[in-house]
Amino acid sequence: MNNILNAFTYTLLPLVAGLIIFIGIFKNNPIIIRRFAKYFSVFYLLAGVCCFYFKNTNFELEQIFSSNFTTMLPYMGGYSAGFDTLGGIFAIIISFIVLICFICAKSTVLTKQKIFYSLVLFFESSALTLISTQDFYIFCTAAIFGVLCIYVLLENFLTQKSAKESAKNYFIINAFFIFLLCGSFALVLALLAHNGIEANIVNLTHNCKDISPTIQSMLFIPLLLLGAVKIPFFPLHKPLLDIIKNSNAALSCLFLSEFIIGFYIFIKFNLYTLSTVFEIFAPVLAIMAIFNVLYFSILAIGELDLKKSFGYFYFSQNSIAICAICAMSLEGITGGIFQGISCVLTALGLFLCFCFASQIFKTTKLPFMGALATYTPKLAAMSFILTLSAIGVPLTSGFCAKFLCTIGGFATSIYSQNTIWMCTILIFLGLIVNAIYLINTFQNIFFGADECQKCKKTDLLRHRGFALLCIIFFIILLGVAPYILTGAITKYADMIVSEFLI
Amino acid sequence: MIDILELVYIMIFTPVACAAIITVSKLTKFKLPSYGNFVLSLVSSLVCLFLSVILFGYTYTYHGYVLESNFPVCAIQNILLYFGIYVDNPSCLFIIFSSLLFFITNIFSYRYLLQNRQGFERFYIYLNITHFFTYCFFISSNLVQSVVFLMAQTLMLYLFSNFYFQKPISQENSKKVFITNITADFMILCACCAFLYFSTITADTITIPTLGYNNINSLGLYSFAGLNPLVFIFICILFMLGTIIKSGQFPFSRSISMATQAPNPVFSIIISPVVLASGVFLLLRLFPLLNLTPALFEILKIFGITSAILAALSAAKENEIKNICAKMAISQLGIAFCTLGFKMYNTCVFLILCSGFAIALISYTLNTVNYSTGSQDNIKFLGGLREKIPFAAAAYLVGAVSLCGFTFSGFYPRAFIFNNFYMAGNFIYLILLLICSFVSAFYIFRVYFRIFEGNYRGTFEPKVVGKAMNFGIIALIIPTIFFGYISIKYTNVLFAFANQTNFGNSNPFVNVFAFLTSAAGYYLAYNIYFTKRLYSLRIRTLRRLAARYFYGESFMDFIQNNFLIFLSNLLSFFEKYILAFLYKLPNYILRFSSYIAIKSQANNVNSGYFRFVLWICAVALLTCLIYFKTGTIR
Repeated sequence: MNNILNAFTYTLLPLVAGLIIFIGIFKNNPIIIRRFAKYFSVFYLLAGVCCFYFKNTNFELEQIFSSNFTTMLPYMGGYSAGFDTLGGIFAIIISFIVLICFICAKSTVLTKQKIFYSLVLFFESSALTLISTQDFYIFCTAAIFGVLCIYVLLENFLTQKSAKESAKNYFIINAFFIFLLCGSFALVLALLAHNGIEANIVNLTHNCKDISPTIQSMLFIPLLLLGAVKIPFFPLHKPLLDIIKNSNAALSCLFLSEFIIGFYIFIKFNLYTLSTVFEIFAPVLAIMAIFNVLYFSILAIGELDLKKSFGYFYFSQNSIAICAICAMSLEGITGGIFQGISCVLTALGLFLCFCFASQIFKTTKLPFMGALATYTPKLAAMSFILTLSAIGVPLTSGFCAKFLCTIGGFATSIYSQNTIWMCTILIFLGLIVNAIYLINTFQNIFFGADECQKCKKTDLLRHRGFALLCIIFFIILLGVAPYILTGAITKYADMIVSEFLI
Repeated sequence: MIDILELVYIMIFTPVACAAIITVSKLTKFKLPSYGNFVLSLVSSLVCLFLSVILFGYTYTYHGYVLESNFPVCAIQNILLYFGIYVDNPSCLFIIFSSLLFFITNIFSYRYLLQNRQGFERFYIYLNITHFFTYCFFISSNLVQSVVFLMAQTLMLYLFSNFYFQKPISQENSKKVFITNITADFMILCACCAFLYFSTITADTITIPTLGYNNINSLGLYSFAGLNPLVFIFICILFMLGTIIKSGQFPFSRSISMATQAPNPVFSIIISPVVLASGVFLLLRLFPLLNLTPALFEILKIFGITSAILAALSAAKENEIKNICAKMAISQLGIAFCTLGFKMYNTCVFLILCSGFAIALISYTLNTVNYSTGSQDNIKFLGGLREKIPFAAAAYLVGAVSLCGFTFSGFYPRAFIFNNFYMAGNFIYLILLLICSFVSAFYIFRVYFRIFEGNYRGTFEPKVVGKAMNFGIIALIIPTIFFGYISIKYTNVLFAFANQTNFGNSNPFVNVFAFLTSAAGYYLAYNIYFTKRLYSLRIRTLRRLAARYFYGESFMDFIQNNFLIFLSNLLSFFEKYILAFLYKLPNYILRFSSYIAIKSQANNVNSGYFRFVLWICAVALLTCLIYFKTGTIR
């Protein structure tokens, strides 16, 4: 088993599946293509869970699932891939997101199925490669390939000209930072080679202390900017927001994977590998994150476009995770990672619910929605649970995440005591504004006057209901038994904290 | 032999089991009839009442006994989160009180729901889950658990306020209720997290699993000694503000007025100490912690007395029965907060319970009025009901007399408070409380005269109330009359936590003066609304003052709605025009450069347009040079 399914083949499997669809084995038959993609995703998710679980039930800190062979130029040290604890969790989440994306695509992607399914699978492969690779150039290649997949998808499935313009901007910004990163990597690689060290990410992590902070900063900044586009941070959020506003439910899901990638880059490289520089940048980042939380949450309240306002809300929730991580304490990092995961799950569910609602009303404008609860009680009930989780009501993952983040906020070791609670208060202000936004939106869609009496209001279809149920199950599971994740995350966070000088 | 701990668990989970059965029956083919749902819920509440009495008996037998049990939930390094139970005297009293109220609510709800004929299952599921959360809150063994169930209560409050989800007003109100409560919850959560972390790091030498109430005193001392005083004060202020908002004190009382959209029987629970006083209960639990910063008690005093007077004034002009009940509860809680501000811990608990029984009695009596008159909620259209429902009239009088402090249970806590203030020389607060008593007596008897005396002004022929409802009212009359007396007689039993000197010497002069003040309120109401001798005087000043109260509430509404939207629109403008322009700027620069490059390559430099652009660039460059050279443009 170890020889057949190692990290390398694991990351390549979606690529192979995508190629099978792309080269036309199924002869453009949409039903077969869809079923193949869906069943492959189910198999892939289960395989991933089994592999990560059986390879190491204790979720050790070192690479839990790796393979290594020499294919590249000799001085690059060959290609090696491996998932650490966080990478493993994130890989499973990405697989889950892709599966949900395929489930939703049944009713939202009605043309060009071949392109859609194959590109999503290519994207999944590139995302997992980016997470698992230990090689600099494979990392950059996977990053640019993933962004390219997204761009082609958007070009094919977005209809509005402004949205296509945003897709182009998103691609350009991403590509710019990736190329910048390539240069920085080359510099670091040269330095490591000069010192006689094989140049890969593991060695960089172990020998980073020997490199001067200036050089580290040259690597840190492009990585941070790349993460900031994907998470996203002000003012780099604009293209992503426009894309989310115009994309359908299936495409919206994919942007959550983008967040996972950005978040992983932020934690793995910015926080862990380049911890020395992170200590310098942390206060600035924390202030930026707090600004983001407030800025996006306030913007969400007044926005009348459902998807756009939800985009703002989602960005502000992501920033809470970043802010907690910037506390640089064990509790903060644990809370930040937990918040990131919880945010993805909740946002995934809410994205779907809101997309279904806007499909029913055939508009994304909030004033033209209302009274959906009477016709679609299942959708209303599920949306309500997801809303509660996003607000942070107990017994949902949102509560645990916010609780841990707050403790982390207080547990920060880098600021003076006077600023700690100011930061946390500001975050709580953001949370309150978010709660107001969510309850307003929920009531606006599901209660109030029926603004579209001619609309065909059918309740959740079976496959959609199943997708939402899966998400809700995980949200409640993490809310009731957070130790499922916190145990593994705390160990990982402990490893990161041990790297800090403070 | 069942262990007492198992009994507690049975008591907690009986409502959950009941809710689960009703849910399953709703979702499957085995649908219970409406009467079946009612019986099941009634049995569940009876079991809980019975078990809570046994629990109280147990603590009575083993005097001062505290039942405690914990199990771990989550651990992050040295922060161990536990859930568990912690049952002592105050929690026992609150549990019995809540069990009794849930039992009575069940009795009242059936008739009420029959009237409206909707949401039977939903109602009983909500009710039992609220029941469960309430128990869990009162027996919480630590602060984190309390916060969790406080937030859960907020959720139930929202669901109940939005029970008739097709009514626009109930939707709007439930939203406001939720927002106000969740704000309070987040404040308390923030304080809880800060205290959790700081107490853990400052007290790391001893093994403290979590913020347990059994060692809150030592935790507070450790934190107080080891922390920056500002941080400690910040934590205490957050706790206080959170509980003040949660308890609907001025100017945050909008949420309670909004909860009037809940079904009538449930509304009585919302305004009773079961839900409304949960904030005060939390403060009581944290009393040892707050006691370390005595200066902060001023906050409680000021908020408490302001709410007590303003809510009473506001109630004096209200005509809606539910609004009057809500303001009545806020006013009484205001007095409780003020009492706590003077560190009269025992008197505060005593007052909450005594006034709680009276408020519950009044609100359930008004429920029967509502039922009898076909959901008529405006006292302007009522009157002369004493002949139709004499029992309700008598019950209301018992509640009114108790709440005004003339006699029965309500007399004792008020007497303690007045005497205490008098002896401590707090004359300003004494006078303010006397004013509050005067206004309270006035509006409580105003309601009585409006509803039960005079001629009936409604259109619907009042109907006779059933025996079940009367039985429910009797169940409340008994504690309203005797609870205060029994508490004084057996102080050591009921209030094992009490310091008896608090209930000691009383000054007859103060008692008589307090009595006369309330009597003056009654007399004024009598002359205006019964004999109508002073009807033309209907106190415009009161109305004006009440309007001030409304402005205070409206300000909070303004912050919630208009201010945030205005801010959002401002940022949206920035996003739409300035940020969008910044994104397009590189594009424009590239296009412009490209244009110049193309023109220059095509040897078309002499075209007029191109020369014009070059001139503009040259002038701009020159201006910049002059500016940087001289520091200013002349």
